[in-house]
Amino acid sequence: MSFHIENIVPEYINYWHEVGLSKFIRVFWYFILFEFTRYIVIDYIIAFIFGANKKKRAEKFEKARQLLRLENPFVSVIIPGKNEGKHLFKLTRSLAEQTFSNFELIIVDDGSDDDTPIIGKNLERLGLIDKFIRNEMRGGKASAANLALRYSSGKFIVHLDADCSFDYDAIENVLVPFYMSPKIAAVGGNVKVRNYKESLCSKLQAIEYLKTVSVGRIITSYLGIYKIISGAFGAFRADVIDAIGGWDIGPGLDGDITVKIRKSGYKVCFEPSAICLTNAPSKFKVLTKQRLRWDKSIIRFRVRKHKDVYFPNANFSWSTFFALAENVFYNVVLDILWWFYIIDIIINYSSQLQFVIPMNFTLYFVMSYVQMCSIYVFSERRKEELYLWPYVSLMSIYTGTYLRIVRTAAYYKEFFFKRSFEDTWNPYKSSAQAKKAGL
Amino acid sequence: MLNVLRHNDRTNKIQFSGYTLLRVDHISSIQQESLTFVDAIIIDTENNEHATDLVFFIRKNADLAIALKPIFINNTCQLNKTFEIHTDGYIDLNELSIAINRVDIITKRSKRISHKNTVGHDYQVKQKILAFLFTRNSTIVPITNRASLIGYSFPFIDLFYKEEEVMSKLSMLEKSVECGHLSTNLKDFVHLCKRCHGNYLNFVEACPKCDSIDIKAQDIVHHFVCAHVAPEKDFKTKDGLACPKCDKQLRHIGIDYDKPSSMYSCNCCNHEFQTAKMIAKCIDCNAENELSALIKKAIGSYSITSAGEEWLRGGEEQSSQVSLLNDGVMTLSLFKIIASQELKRITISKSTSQIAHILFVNERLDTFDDATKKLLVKEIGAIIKSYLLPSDVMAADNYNSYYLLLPETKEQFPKRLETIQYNLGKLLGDNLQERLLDIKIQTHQLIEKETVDSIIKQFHK
Repeated sequence: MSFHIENIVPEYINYWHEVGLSKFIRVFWYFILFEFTRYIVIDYIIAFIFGANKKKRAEKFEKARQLLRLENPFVSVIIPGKNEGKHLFKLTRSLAEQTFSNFELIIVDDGSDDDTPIIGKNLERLGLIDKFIRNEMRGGKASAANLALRYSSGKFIVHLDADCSFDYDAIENVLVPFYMSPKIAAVGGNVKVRNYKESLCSKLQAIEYLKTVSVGRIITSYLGIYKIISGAFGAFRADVIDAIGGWDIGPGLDGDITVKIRKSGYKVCFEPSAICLTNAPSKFKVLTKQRLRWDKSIIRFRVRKHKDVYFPNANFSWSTFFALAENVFYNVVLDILWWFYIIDIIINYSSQLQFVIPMNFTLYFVMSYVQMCSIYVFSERRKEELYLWPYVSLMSIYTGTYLRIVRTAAYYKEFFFKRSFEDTWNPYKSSAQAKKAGL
Repeated sequence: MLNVLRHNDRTNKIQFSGYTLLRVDHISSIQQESLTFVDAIIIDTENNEHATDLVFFIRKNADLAIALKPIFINNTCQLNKTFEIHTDGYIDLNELSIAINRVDIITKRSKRISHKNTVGHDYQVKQKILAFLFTRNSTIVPITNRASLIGYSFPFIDLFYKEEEVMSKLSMLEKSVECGHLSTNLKDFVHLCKRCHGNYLNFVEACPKCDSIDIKAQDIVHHFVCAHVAPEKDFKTKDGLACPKCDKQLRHIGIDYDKPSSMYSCNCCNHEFQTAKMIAKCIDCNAENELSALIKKAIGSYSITSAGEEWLRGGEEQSSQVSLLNDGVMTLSLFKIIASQELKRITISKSTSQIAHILFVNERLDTFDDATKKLLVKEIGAIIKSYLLPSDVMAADNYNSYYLLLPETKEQFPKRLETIQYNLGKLLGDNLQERLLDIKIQTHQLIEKETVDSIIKQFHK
């Protein structure tokens, strides 16, 4: 068959015109069954319900805010980290602007080898930090968070990352949901990308965060299956977090603690108006490393450590089951299925790949923009985010191909070799013991 | 050779090798004597109080020649060691030749000193110290002394300062080193209480919140496997250490757990903290000093420099006080030369010029401490200069006395002098509640055949 460039578009349109709906569904079953249903249909249904209940929800939120202001509880803001000294002054400035001010600021320096101890102690002396605790030996993020927890005295614990900054009402807003229901023991903040103009890599992550964090978590929270409170910005009831023993060894400790709270019978929710800005990796190499770590933690915690949530037992909870099952299904199962789908297409439609691949990209391209519209509905920073719209066209390559390959590699490494225990993110002394104990 | 002349019960004069040594046991003995004709004094008493009175009387004498007289202690008398350092040592009355040799040197060197009419305590003391070092040809070495507020006694120097005037003493020494008249060899650093300047400090760790010293340190334990971190007391059981989070036994440090840091807890306010506040409690006045508030001072031995010797011999007329003034203020000697030139000029040009003298009556400025004096003098210099014409010349004699040469000025009391008087009065009034009357400004029109010295003398009448 001779190849003529001028015939490509007419042939492509003619092909899909004649193929018929049943064959279209057969070829794009993966997209229609999973992607379209989950990210378009459900998102828009929830967006519609969300919009319809907006007034009622706002009233409920306002009532809870009044209760919070009336009680004005003492809160402990804890920030564990290593070599974060350079961010500390800006962070204290950001926190000084908060509408909620009845909090203590505890910073744990987890064995920093830069100027962090000097900076931290100076800020403590100046009264900008309430407690600066220095660990001479690095113990890992979980141990640093637990140390801060041990020396906190607030009714609520707000866990932050040092390189974040916050909207002036972020801390107040993240605390409000606790006054909506006594069953709520943890609230996740809305983490957005601050450096979205820095590089293509950060732009794509900014869009991804809007989809998966800002909107994705509104949906899962609404459905009661919200399963990860970001380590960058989350609030916890101190009594509950104490009762479950604080954070366990990571990586992926933020997801792990959320599951632990759910398993102990409490609810967790997402608060979209509690806005936190963070710096995302600006290079794909760094991003790949970060995502390999995150994705390995899904196998380690959701599949292995907390496998009990999938089986009937005394503490069984459907919402926890669905929260983890959705996470594992959409990440792990669908990732494996995607490779089956690719094989299916290569075997059965090898002669039509010149039509199938462009259509596949077209579908994901269109879906990305349709999804972006739902983000537009939910967002409170619409003007700024308009900047990102041209880059939405690249999302099908970013999430559909790049992130999927990274994810597959992470699952393979963790599932067969338990590589998360070798991650230098945690000190070897802790990882070795955790691996031995099967954690 | 030995010739003892007994005058009364308490004084004896010893003549030896042409020198007269006065043997005394009580201050009343020397009050009756004319010390000018005595070459050395021998303290002949075991009563420390009497001996101290004698040394004070001699060393504090306004006449430098008397203040520098050698003072010996009869070696048959045993006096307090902290007192001995202010004398020229012990003397054996049967072996006077060694001491006489010393007397000879001191006397000869004393004659080489130009006796200055000085103003101000520090200035007089400095002169005495330099003269003492010069006549003894030695070094003043500080001696550790438990009884001293700063832990060190300075031979000779300590006689001129009360115990509580330690800062003035050290400051005078620092200034003398700064202007090159003394050289120092560092021996130690002392940290002094901000309130009483004492060196007897008790360093204690305290709670940064309530300043209580009732604090206790606890090791922090990190259990690797479950990431639980808490003070050691949380892990303590009858059998050792067990994790309160996962109930596991902690057996092996470095394998099961480690101790990454320690925390203090305050038994008074329950505050928990990692960096304890260090407090230096003064034993003498009970003041609680933060370490950063302690006054750090160098303790050294002091020797006179060649510049200091030159200064003593009168080679440097202007006082170091003048150096405190701003640029554009000349020394009195230079002023005299320029004024003499002006006298010659007006003789030829038949013009009229004035010399003015600004005087702070009763040497008011000398009553203030050094820091205030320094600031005031700078301000005074700046005020005077700001109202002078570009052709006017200003000189300073000392803190209290300033001369102005006002060429081509016909008025008896020019307007600019009125302004200067008003502003200086205001400066003193605003800062020191001093009255305007305390500033005296005199003018003198230059006349042919006059000398500048005679004009200056007239001002001081």
